[in-house]
Amino acid sequence: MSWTGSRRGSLRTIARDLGRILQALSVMPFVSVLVSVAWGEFYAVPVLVVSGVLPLGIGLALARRYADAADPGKLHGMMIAAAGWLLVAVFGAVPFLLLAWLAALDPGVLSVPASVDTPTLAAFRDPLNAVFESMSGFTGTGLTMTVHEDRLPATLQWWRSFVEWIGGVGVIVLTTAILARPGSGSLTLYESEARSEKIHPSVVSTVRTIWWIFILFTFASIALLWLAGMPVWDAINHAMTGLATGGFSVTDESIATYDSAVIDFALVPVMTLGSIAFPIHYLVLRGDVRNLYADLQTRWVFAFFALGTALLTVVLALSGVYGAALTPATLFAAFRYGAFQFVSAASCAGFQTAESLGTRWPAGAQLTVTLGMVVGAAAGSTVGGIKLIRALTLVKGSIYRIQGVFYPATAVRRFRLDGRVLSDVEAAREFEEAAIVSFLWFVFLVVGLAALLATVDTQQFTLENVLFEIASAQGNVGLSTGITGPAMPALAKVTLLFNMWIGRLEIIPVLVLLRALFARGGAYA
Amino acid sequence: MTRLDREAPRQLLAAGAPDDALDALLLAGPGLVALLVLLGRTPLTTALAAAYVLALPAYVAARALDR
Repeated sequence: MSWTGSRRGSLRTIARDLGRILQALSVMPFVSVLVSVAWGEFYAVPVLVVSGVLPLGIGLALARRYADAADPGKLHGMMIAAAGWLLVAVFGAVPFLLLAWLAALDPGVLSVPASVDTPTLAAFRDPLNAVFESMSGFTGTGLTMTVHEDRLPATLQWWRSFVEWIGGVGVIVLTTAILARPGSGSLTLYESEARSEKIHPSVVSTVRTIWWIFILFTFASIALLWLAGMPVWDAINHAMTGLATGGFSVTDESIATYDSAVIDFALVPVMTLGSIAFPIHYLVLRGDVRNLYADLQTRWVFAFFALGTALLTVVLALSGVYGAALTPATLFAAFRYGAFQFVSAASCAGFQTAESLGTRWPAGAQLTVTLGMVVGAAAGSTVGGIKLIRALTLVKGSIYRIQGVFYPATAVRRFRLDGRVLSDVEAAREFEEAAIVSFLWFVFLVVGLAALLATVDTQQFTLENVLFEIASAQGNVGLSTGITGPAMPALAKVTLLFNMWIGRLEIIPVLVLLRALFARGGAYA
Repeated sequence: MTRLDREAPRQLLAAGAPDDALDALLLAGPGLVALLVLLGRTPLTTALAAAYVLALPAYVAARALDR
């Protein structure tokens, strides 16, 4: 069914599936009630109940009203994914908004402690800040409107971690896992959420296996971080956001709060686990560990992390950031911060240990981190960025094309990628897909750069600071040079919101949705 | 309890690697976290957490050697 062919039918399909996404989302606030009760924050329970009832009611109404709508096609899938991620960001903002206003108005019957109403929480009375935080969480970005994370109620600390954890795997993966619907419709939606690899022939089995792996790794990460010295609440939250490569923290200065090399190095494997595609995890858990080096992307995840770490360590050591003299102590500091920040950037986690990337690190170091953020890690994992497989396809494809000039026209050549031998037509298709997404990625990077340069104080922030911030948002990384915060202009917040949204969905679904909206609005035929 | 509530844990376990030991690790996870919360940092909880962390790579390595 084409969009122009049957708009009413298309809208019914889209509305039904958006309703299903909202139904799945509604589970999250209800589950979070347990956290409020455990922390004795009973005033937050009504907030979470309302936050769950809203999407549940609307979701049920849409799903039942259009229950007999047709299965989604590729076009619908993209529009559902794009609209669905926007909707979950809006509904995910409700706990921030309601709790901030509840603390401000303090209706008495709920006995909100006066200490809850901090300026940090008050920032969420602005709906734009609440939506920004929610979008940043669901997309696994980690840029934040929270000034002092440790002053948020535990309920909201958990909510931030929980949305990142769910968003790391994907809201459509969550919907498919909870509201199983076998058939081509689920597969279409699954692929629209920037996923393509399947573990089992059935997409429902695939998403359940993804959750099985993710939950198992979450428990292991919690135990590891706790052993490294984190308090248990911090370990739970950082394990969730680290594995989801989201980067929200419950502490004021991210991982730098602990100033512990052991914790820094404990988080590196957690973030690396989140950077490897789920099908590879599945094979490795079955004992087929050879996939860690036989799979092209996974091999390059390790190589890219190692090369980036080495480069960043050298830049930091030579620039004297951690001491002018090259002593074992300064070299270790350069390696410690370089390794953590590069893995944090390339895995798109966005945890920060270096005090200020914006003012203390030299431009060369910032650009190295920016490279990590732009490229990202493995497709099919929880990371953002262009993804290593696309970068490798572009590099290998370019070499293949250039080498082709030196062969006779009659030569039969084969393009090899990730163990596959591709014909010219197949190679051209792979190359085209990688080139289009990468091109669009850079176009929207430049558009965001222009918008941000027009709104932020360029006396305070340099061009590389602004480029870093936009790359961080669009790569769903979350490292910040200090630009992002509740005081930034509304247009800058909207710009970063848009970049986070398109970055998570790899741009094309959002463009498809916008085109359909403009077409429907009569902007063009 | 709805049918979905009853079926979800079983389906989740059925979805993982076909391996009882890994399923047991998954099931032990919430219990371990509960112990860490309730008992705090004691020699017992430290040993249990260390065993949990090491069990996963050790078991995978053992399975890899068996292949």
